[in-house]
Amino acid sequence: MPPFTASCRRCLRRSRGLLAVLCVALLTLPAAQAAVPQMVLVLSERGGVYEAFADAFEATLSGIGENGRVRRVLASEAAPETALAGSELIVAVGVQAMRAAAGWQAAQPVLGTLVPQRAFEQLQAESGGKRRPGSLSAIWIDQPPLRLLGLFRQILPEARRAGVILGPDSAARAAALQRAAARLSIELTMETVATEAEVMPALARLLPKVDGLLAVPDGVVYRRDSVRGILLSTYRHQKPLIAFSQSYVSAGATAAVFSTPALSALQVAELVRALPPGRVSLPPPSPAAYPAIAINRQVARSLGLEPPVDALVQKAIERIVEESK
Amino acid sequence: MSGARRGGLSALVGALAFMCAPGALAGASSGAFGNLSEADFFAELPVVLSATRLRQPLSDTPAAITVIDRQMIRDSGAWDVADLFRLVPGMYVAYNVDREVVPGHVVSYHGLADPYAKRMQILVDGRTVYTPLFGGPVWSNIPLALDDIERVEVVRGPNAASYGANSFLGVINIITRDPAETHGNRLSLASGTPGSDLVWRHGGGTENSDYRLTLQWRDDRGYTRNPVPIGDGRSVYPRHDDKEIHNLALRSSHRFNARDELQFHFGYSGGTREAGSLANPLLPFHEKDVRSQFAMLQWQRNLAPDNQLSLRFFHNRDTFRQDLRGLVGSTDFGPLTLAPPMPLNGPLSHVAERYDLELQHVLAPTAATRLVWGAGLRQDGVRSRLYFNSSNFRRFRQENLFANLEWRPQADWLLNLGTMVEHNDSTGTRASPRLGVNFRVADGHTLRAIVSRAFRNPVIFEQQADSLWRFSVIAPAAAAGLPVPFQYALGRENLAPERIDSREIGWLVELGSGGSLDLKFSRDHLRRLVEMYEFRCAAATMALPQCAASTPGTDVRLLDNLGEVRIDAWEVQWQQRLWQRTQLHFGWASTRIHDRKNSLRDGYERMAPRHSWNLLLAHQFADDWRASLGAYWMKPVAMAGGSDALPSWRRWDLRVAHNFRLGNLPAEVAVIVQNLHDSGDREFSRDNVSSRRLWTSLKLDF
Repeated sequence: MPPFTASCRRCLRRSRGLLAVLCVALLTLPAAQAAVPQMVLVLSERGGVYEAFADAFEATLSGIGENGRVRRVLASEAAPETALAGSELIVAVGVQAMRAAAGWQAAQPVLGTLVPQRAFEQLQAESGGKRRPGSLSAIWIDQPPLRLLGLFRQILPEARRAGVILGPDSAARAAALQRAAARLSIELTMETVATEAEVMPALARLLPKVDGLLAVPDGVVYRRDSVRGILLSTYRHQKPLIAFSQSYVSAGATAAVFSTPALSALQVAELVRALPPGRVSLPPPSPAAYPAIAINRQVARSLGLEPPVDALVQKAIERIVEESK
Repeated sequence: MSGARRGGLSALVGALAFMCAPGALAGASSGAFGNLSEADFFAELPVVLSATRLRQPLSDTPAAITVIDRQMIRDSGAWDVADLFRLVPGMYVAYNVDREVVPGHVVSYHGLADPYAKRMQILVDGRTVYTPLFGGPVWSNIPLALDDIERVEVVRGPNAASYGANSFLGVINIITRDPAETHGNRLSLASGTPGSDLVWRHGGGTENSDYRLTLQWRDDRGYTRNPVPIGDGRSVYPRHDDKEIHNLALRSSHRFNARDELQFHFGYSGGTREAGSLANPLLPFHEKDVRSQFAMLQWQRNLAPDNQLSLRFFHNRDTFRQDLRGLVGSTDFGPLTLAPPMPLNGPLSHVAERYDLELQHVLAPTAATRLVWGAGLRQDGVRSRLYFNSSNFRRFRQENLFANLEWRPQADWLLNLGTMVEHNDSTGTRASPRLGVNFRVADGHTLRAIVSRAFRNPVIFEQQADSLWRFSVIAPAAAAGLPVPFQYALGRENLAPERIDSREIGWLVELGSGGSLDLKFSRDHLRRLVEMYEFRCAAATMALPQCAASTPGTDVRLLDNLGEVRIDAWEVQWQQRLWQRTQLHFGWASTRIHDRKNSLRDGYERMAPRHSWNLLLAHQFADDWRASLGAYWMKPVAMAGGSDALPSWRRWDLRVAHNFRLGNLPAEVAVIVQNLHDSGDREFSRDNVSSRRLWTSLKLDF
């Protein structure tokens, strides 16, 4: 992976927009020695985070002089034969695009991005190992557990007890979360639920025993219709919620560490650039490399917390991750 | 929860709450199990913890505040809402077998109370619930189950800029639980000395809507039923204070998108209340039918996490009906025998209603400032032949503008500057300003200084009372049919509003683990207090307007701005978690009232206990056992309308609760004993004797 200069990190922190990506691209990616492969960018839908990813991705590539390497298609519109002609790699943005691209059974490998680890693993399981190695991979949208726990540590420096509610989608993360917690000497208490109805009772059991709650993406636990109850409940117990998206912070979570389309685009650009020449073979899937953080200062203040400025928090988390390597 | 069960009721509630907007939000669909997608990370979510919902940390609070949260409510073992306020330092709370209106509690900060304690603002979810008839709330008529309360914030001191009109001695702000937190069913049963209580709560929701419906039936047997000896060979009269209470409360919210939310609240409280007295032939034992209802609609737009606009409209209506026909007989008045008077010889009803509209905007103009501003319109109306000698509504309108600016010039300094400007039909325009400064002198130590002024507008009864009873002579026969009018009470149109000028200093020590110690001294100067006094109409005074409709030799009750007092109060509040499993709450107050004019017959000095304290100690023995001990004590008092000077009052309460599973369902059983040592102490008036009360409760979630 190319060096990631300090100036660019600052740049990234200030802005998650196109400028930041351009800055990163220009500073961190030295002139390419080998051309990146010709790619088809499959978007799950028009607009939104998908176009934001595509714009950032193309801007990053053009920053290193790799213009015209990308052709955009929509997952729903794509006619594989014509769209894929002449391309060497499919980059699928979002779960819908990844599933569509995998279904085409094309010769080109498929790299999923902006996809949850769980969704990728499900797809892999469904394909039953029929795909050749290196033909299906992903950059997950999920952050590694150590970052989540690192953020918990930064928000609650004195706290030793974190809680987490796992559901069917996230149960498999238990061991990784425990390992990360142990590394930071945090005592992690887990509740596992199987159905939506169990979430609030589990929360009621958990909250009195912990100093804060970590949110791990799960389709049963963290649903649109459960967010409200979870936020109100944690707040009533005066315990911060450390979440996995900017939206949660806007809604009332104390802090979150997450990926943005621009940061994912940078990671994908780095990956494709580092691919060895010749027939494309993808590395194994990996979690998000570059995190963004957000802190809801109003909620933090109301909980009697005074976290340092975002940049210091982010730096401290990165240090924790670096030290653990 | 099964889909069918949720569907049936949500359709009903949806219709009630104007929530029938299927597919109103076409947001990105987030996943169910096995369906996790990027939408779970990127889909916009509605703001839940908006600036209006967030509590200020204690060190930023520009007032002395007591927060009673759900755990404290449970631990206190309170039977009804008003009992909770015994945990507030400086708050006078007493159960009163009021014979005239309905039996219930008297709640007043720093005393100065009569049976209709009227100098506080009482809010339930932002809706003001004091009745425009007398100015105080009728606690037993508020459709509110204890279990639906999220927390109670009691502001100890005037704060009209933030809480509106009537925030005079203090503010009780009751916040109910958000319906998103109360999905499912809960059945609560309680039975014992105070009566029986049955509550069923049902809650549910969809992605964009939540609702809660609470139904309560309570057979409240009041206080002891038999005559109680109180020394001197005397007994107090048997109490006639039973209440049958039927409550329905609905709260729902619908989110149209990530920014807009509509809340609908509806409540109904009906039933009967016993009232009357053996000793008063004109007010014998009888039952009143009471009916209180309200509806409130509130729209909130979240422009940003720290920027909210809300518009709220509500309507309250309280009705009391009584029929004394056949109960009131003839009365002897000297040589005369008089027939039952008009209007007591017919059915009586008293109606009080309120319409209120308020716009509020909360915003953060800069990183160091936060501004709350808004405007409100209100119309109160009352109708009562007994009190106003008319079948017409008496109306009272008021408009107000309010703003409060919170400014943090430096990390350790916080300034709050606010005012409410109020205009009404009868007393004109007045401003209630407030300035508060919080200064963090060291880590965990905050000093607070507040100066404020507030007004209390006279209520409609004080201004327009015209309680005229028309007797007619039965005997001697020679005078039969002769009218004998009796003016019981007469209001005064040009009463000025009461005024309070308050100065307060406080010292907050944060003790770690969420513990705090708050010390407060306040000096309040109250002017133009409205008093009722008796005026003897004699032959020489019959030309005066107050005697115009009366009979010589009788007393008419008049009202005037006569009182002026200074209240000096020291208060301590200590809340602390001890050894992880024990929670302590302690409050102490010393209140001294200086009567500046000695106008009230009994004097104001004794209208607040010189010392009072409360203690709530709760311990979690294991995950499934919890016990709590409450102790309350106050020195002698003599309240207006209570008429008697009462000696010290004490009460010890105990609650033991056990959580268990009934089949697979979480349940809790609790035993509560109030007044463990059966003190026989009296509160508010000599007739209100506290005796031991014991009951058990069972809660089941399903």
